[in-house]
Order: sequence, then C-alpha cells, then structure tokens
Amino acid sequence: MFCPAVQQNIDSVATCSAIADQRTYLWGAEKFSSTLMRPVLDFTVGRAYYRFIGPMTVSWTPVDEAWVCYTLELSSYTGTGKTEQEAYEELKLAIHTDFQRLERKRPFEMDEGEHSKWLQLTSVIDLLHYNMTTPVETRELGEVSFEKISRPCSIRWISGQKYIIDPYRVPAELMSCRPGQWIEAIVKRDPITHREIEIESIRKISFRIPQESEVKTFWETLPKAELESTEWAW
Amino acid sequence: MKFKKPPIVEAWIEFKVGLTDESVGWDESTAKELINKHFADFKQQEFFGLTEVKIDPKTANVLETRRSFERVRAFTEDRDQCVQGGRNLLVYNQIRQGEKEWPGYERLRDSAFDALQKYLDFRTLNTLVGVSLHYLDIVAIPKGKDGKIKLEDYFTVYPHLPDGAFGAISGFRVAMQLPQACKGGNMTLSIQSLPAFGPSEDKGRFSIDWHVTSDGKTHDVDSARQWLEQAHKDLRGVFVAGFTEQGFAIFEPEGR
Repeated sequence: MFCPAVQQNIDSVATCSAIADQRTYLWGAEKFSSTLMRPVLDFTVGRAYYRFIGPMTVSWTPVDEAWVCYTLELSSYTGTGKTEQEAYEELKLAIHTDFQRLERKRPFEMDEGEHSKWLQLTSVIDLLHYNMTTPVETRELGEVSFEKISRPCSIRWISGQKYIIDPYRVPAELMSCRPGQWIEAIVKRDPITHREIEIESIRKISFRIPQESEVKTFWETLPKAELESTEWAW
Repeated sequence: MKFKKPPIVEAWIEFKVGLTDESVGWDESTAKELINKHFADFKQQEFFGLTEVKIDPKTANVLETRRSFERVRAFTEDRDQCVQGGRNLLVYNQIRQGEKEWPGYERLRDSAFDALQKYLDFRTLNTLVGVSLHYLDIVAIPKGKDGKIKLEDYFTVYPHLPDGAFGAISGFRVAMQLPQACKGGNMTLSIQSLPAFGPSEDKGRFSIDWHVTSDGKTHDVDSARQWLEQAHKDLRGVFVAGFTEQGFAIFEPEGR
C-alpha cells in the first residue's frame, strides 16, 4: 500500500551517492542529459544570494498544462508556472520567502512546524555563508559636511564615525544638501567589518544635537517615579 | 500502441563519440560555432563548465584545480527539442510541452541521427563508443477515497513490503539493472515517487526512468542505428509489461 499523503524526505539516498562520488552524481550520471533535471549550487532572488551546502538537484515535470519545479532536498517546496523558468522562479520565491521570514525569528519565536522548516532550510542553504556575505541594512542619522570644497564631502554619523562621500556612488539627492544638513539614510554595511558598502537612499530631516544644558534641563523636567521603600533581597 | 495521454515527458538519445581521431579542441567558442552553424533553430543556449578540485585529505589544502568546458545545451524557441554537445558527446532530447501531441520515437530517432551526422562532420570524428536511449515518464494516479494508492493495481513492478511492522510506504526510490531485457545492451529501470505538488493534491505521482545503454559494440552510425531499433523494441516490451490494465487505462490507449 502506498500512502502519498504522508510526506517523506528520501533525500538520504541522493546524499549518499553524492558523497560516494560527487563527480559522477553531478556530471557523469546518465540523468544529467535530461533537460528536466539539473544540479544547482546557488541562486539569487533580488539582492539575496543563497549558496547551498551541497548541490541541490532541481527537477521539472509537466502537470496538466503547467510546469512544476521541485527538489527532493527541500521536498515541501514546489513552484508552478507556464514555463520551466516560471516554475523555477516560483520555487526560488517559495524558498526565499520562508527563509527570510524564519531568519528574522529567534528560535523561541518559532513554533514546531517553523522550527522544523528552518532546520530543513539550513541543512541545504549555507547559513554561515549567508550571514557573512549578506550586507546589514541600517537606518542612520548623519550631518553633511563640505569641509574645504564646494560640495558635500563627508557625513558625520551620529555615532561619531565619518563617511567620505564618493559623488559617483551615493544617491544624487545627497549632493543637493547644504553644509550642516542632517539626513536620515538607509546604509548597507559589511556584516563582518561593519564598514559602509553603500548608501541606498537619504531623506533630509530637521535635526540638531542638543547642547549639554538642554539635555540637563530635559532630564530634570522628566517626571519622577516614587518608588516604595522596601528591603531589597538580592 | 498509441495513447491519448502518454506518460512521457522527455526522451533522449545519447551518443558517446570516440576521440582517437580528434584534431580540433573542444571549448565554449567551438560549441557556439557548432550550434550557430548547424542548429540555427536552437537559439536558447546554455553552457556548462566543470571544475575539478584535488584536495589533500590530511590538510584540506587544494592541491590542484582544473577547469574545463563540459557541454552546450541548445533549445528550440518553444523548448520542445534540445541538442547537447560535449567533447565526446552528442545528445538529442525531445521534451513534451503542454498539450502538444508527442511526436513519437521516429522523429526523435531521425532528428538524433541527423544531429549526430552534423556533429561528427563538424568535429571531424568518425567513431562511436556507445549509444543510449532514455525515456522519462511521469505517471499520475488518483488517490483512493482513503487517500491511498494500491500500487499493485497499476504497476507490475513496485516495491513490496510485508504487512505488519512496516506499515504504509510514503515515498520510495528503486533502481534495477536488467541485463537480459535488451539484446546487446544494459537496461536500468528506476521508479520513484514524487512529492505532492500542493496540499490539495489528489494524485500520487511517480517518475519512471527507462534507460538502455549499448554494450560498446556500436562503433559506427549504421550499427548504432540497428542497435537503437532493437533497444527501442525491447524497451517498448518492458514498458508494456510494466503496467496492469488499470495502469494502462490512465494513458487512455487508442484502438485497444
């Protein structure tokens, strides 16, 4: 009796043959001549780049008047489309969507199903590589400075760090700023060094760093909380 | 035997070519020239490379890296035919597209030999090392009311486990070598269940690969042609023996 309702990942068979002779598995096997099956080492969706731990075999099959794209390595994902390419794009999007949703969750935020899906995804996608190569996007405040030239020359981020402006690599709007203009910027940073890779966009804002006396006044005007006097036992 | 709904999704003939008289190298530009010169209708081109890395198992240092061009794949505009060329390889694929009628073995054979001749002339090669014929079928079987499928009702070849401890099978992949099924060749039959395509899937799907390879005595085009006719006949015999009447009914045979 065959019971297809229960999904079973039979990936281990393919994995074993891959380990035994990866070259044969990838290139020498008679099935490589099939145009409906191919090993995929990585893929990109928009700016997200996914590298796989090992080759993932992607297969296509016609179903009714459409194409379905699937991979036994991630058997719960499929893509359907009018063409093979469309079906493959749908498969990539399905994987990408789940990965991005789950990557933003802490383990305790995941239910059992999500945790299991995350384990499945990260057994195929190289998470370490993803984390080390995917830029971090931050929203930052900074002040434009002209220094000694007649156009925006640098940005002093609110953290105190200085960014030298390359007019060819920044949003054009940045070059319209006056000296001392504050901006809110979306910045792509290297995940390891945290250096700026690119300023994606900017928005001019009204802002200034308050003076010390203003900060002091502000602090003093804050309402005071009356705490109950009690004995603290640590 | 002709079917209204044949299970076939792809078939291909693969020729392994001898390199004893090779005088021109094989690289991406040669492959492009081959396709542009002889397969002008095959405009969608894909190029595959091969990287071999030798690693010291003790230190994990890379000792040697070798890159080579592996093959070109060129498709017709509607992707129903594909020609693949490698250094010692010519493959001709026929792919099912939508509800178009399957063009049949004869067209595949004729197109494949036509492509082979062009390849041999272009590469100035004369010898063959082997030929193979491959069919890829996808069989979709409706689930019963209990959501299950009795494999034995449809297939004569299927995995069987004794009742009791094993319970139901939810997925399988089996491959068998059948040395006596084809005269002058080796046949491999692989059957595999496919994952459900969506939660409301009401069918179980099975991928069946029929692969026959010549035993290495097909050294010229004529002997390859003869071998292929025999292989196709034998493969057809195995295909017919592989399904029950109920199984065949899914393909809606004509004149049966």
